[in-house]
Amino acid sequence: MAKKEYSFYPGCSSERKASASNYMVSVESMCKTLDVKLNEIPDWNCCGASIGYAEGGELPRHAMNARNIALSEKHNPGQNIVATCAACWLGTKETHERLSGSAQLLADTKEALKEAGLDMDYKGDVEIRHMVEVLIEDFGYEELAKPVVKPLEGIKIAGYVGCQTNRPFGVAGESFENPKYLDKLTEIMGAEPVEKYDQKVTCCGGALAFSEPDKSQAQIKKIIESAYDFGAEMIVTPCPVCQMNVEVYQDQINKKYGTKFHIPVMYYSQLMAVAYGGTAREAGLNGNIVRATRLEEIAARPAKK
Amino acid sequence: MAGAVATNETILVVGGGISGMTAALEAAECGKDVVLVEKNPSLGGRVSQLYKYFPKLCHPTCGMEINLRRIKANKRLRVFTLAEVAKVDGGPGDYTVSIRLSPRYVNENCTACGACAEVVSAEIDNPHNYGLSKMKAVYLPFNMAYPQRYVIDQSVIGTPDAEKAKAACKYDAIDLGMKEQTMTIKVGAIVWATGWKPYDAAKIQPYGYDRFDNVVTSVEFERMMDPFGPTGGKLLRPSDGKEAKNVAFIQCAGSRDRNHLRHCSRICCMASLKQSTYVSEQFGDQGQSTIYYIDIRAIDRIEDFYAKVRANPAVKFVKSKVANITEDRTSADVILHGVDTEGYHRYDNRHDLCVLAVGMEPSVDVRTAAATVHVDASGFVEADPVNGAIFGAGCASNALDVNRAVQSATAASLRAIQVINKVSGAEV
Repeated sequence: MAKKEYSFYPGCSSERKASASNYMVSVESMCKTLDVKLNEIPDWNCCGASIGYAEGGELPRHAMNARNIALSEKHNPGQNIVATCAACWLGTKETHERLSGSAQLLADTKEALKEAGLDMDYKGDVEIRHMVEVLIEDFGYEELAKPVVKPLEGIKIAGYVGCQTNRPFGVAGESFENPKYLDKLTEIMGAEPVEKYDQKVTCCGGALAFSEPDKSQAQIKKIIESAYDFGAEMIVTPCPVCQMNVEVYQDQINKKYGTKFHIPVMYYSQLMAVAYGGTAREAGLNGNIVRATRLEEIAARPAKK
Repeated sequence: MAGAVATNETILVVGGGISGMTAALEAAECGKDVVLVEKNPSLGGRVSQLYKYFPKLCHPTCGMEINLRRIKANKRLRVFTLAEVAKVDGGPGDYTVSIRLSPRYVNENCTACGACAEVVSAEIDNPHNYGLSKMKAVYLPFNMAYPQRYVIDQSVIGTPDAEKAKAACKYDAIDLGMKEQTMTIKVGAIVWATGWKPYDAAKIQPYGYDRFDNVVTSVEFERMMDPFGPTGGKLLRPSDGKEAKNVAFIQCAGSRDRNHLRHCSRICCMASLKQSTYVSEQFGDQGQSTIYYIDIRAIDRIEDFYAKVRANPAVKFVKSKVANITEDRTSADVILHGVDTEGYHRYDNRHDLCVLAVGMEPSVDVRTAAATVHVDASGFVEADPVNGAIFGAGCASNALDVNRAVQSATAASLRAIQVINKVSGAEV
C-alpha cells in the first residue's frame, strides 16, 4: 500500500517520445522514493491548452476537461486529480471551478458528455492539483528533504516559475510576482537558489514561440540572460512549455543576438530524482537537449549515506 | 495593583493619537472624568511621525506640545499607556471594560536620564521610524514621548542586558518583575479612536516593496525628513545612501483597488503633493518629483495647494496607474512601467526612489473587543444606533486628514458627554 495515492492526468507532453517524456520518467522516480502511487486516468484526452482559449469555444473547452474529471471520478473515485503539466492543471482546475460555479454550464457540459456516451455524475468533491502542490502541501519541505542522499552541492540554479502555475490560481501562500517555491525546493535538494532572479515569472511566449518567434525569443533571451547574470549554471521549471521554449531556442537566439547561451533547463523532479539517488536515466537527464553535466556527475557518484 | 477610579459617569477614550487626545481633552475640559488608554508606550500616534502637516506646512510637534500641556494640566483626565481594551460588556451608561496593561518594566521614578539605554547592547527595529532604523531595546519611544519614561522591550527580559540596565539606574526606576495585568473599569460612554495603519505595501506585488530597496512608503518618506529620523532629515535612498533627487510618487497604492482597499484613502493625494515640496525644499531646482495618479483628489478647500504644486516646473504629473516596477541591477534605480492615459504613451521611467502613497485601513478591528459595533465594508466604525454609546472618532471612523480627524473627535466627544449628562441627570 503506497503512502499516498492520486488520480493522475499526465497530459500529452508526458507521453512517450513527446517533449516532456523525461519529465514523466523523473516524476516516476521521485514518486517511487516518496512512495506515491499515481493512477492514470484511463483514456484521458487533451486539456485544450492554448487552442482551447483561442478558437475552441467555452463549452467544448470545458467539456474536454470535464470528460477527464468524469473519467477520474468513475475509475479513481475519491482521489484528487494530479497533473504534472502546468497547462493541464490550469485547464482542468479552471473547468472544475467554472462547473462548480454555474449550474447552467454544468448542465450543458453533462449533456455534451452524454452525447459522447459518458453519463457524468459530477460530484466536484475532488481537488485539481499540480504536482508541486502535492509536494509542498502533502509532504512539506522538511519531509521532502529527508530522502536526499546526493545533495546537489555547489550548483547555482535559477528557479523559473513561468506563468501557469502562478496565475491566476498560483500555489497557496506564494506571491504572484516573486514566488519562492522553486527556490525552496532547490535549496532543500542541496543546491543554491538564485534569490534575486528577476525573470522568474516572465512569459516564455508559450505557443507563440511557433507563430511569433521573434517576440518569444526576445522574452526567452531575458529569462536566460538574467539567470547567467546571477551566476546560475542551470534553470529549473515546473512547466513543460517553459522547459521546452527556454531550452530548444538557445541556438536560434545565439545566432540572432550573438550570445553564447548553453544552459540546461531542468524540471524540479529531475533535481529531486538525482538528489534522491536516482541514476541519470531515472532522472530523465538523457531527455534534455542541453545536457546537465553537473547533475550527470552527481548521479554517477556513490550516495552519501 | 493597577487600577483607576471610574464610574458610569466616566468617559473612556480608546487610542492616544491626535483624535483620542482631542476627544479626551474636550470632554475633560468640559468637566467630565476621562480615562484615556493607549496601546503604545507613548501618546502621539501617527501624527507624531509626520514631518509637516498640509496645507500650512507647519510641524506637528507644535500642536503635540500644546496637547500635552493641556493633558498634564487636567486633573480629570487619566492616561494609561501600554494599555489595550480586551473586552467591552454592557450598554450605554453602564459599560464594563476590561483593559490589558503590558509591563513597561520602568516605574514612575524614571527621569528619562537614559543611563539604562547606554549600557545595553541589544537592538530592535525602531517602530517610530517604521523599522528604517534600529534602536536600543531599552528606549524612549521618541523625543516628545509622553510619559517621558523609558521602556524595556520584552525581548531583553531575562537576558544580561536587563540586569545591566537595572544596575545602571540611579533612581530605582527599573522593576524587572512587572507582569501583564488586567484592570476592569466601569464607564458610561466610549470614544473609539484607535486610528489607522498604512496598508501593507508588500501586498501590492507588482510594485516590489518587498524586493526593491528603493521602493518606500509615504509614511517612511515622511520619517526621512525628520532631523531625528533614520536619515537625519535627508532624503537618502535606502540602497546606497545616495541623495534621492528624482522621486516618483505612486498614488492609490492599495486604495481604490478591488484587489486591495476599495475605498479612497482621501489623504494620499495631498500627502504626495506635500511631499513633493520636501523634494524641492531639499534640492531646489535639482529636485524632481513625478506624481503618477488616477485623478487628483485634493479634498475640497485645499485645491489651491494643488494649484501651487502644479505650477512648480519641478513637479510632473503622469495620469497613469503604474503597471509594475523593475529594478536596474547595477544602479538599483527603480524603473516604472506603464501607459500614460493622456496620449496613450508607453513609458519606462527611471527614478532614484519611488514612494508608494499607501492607503489607510483601521488599525484594529473594533469588533474583537465589542462584537456588536457596526462597521462599514472597510472596517471603519459607522455611526449606528446599535453601537449604543460607543462612538467612532478620527481615522477609526473613516480615512481622514488631521483636520477632519480632530473635528470628528470633537463630535464624538460631545456625543459621549450627552450620554454622561443623561446618566448623571444633568440632562433629560
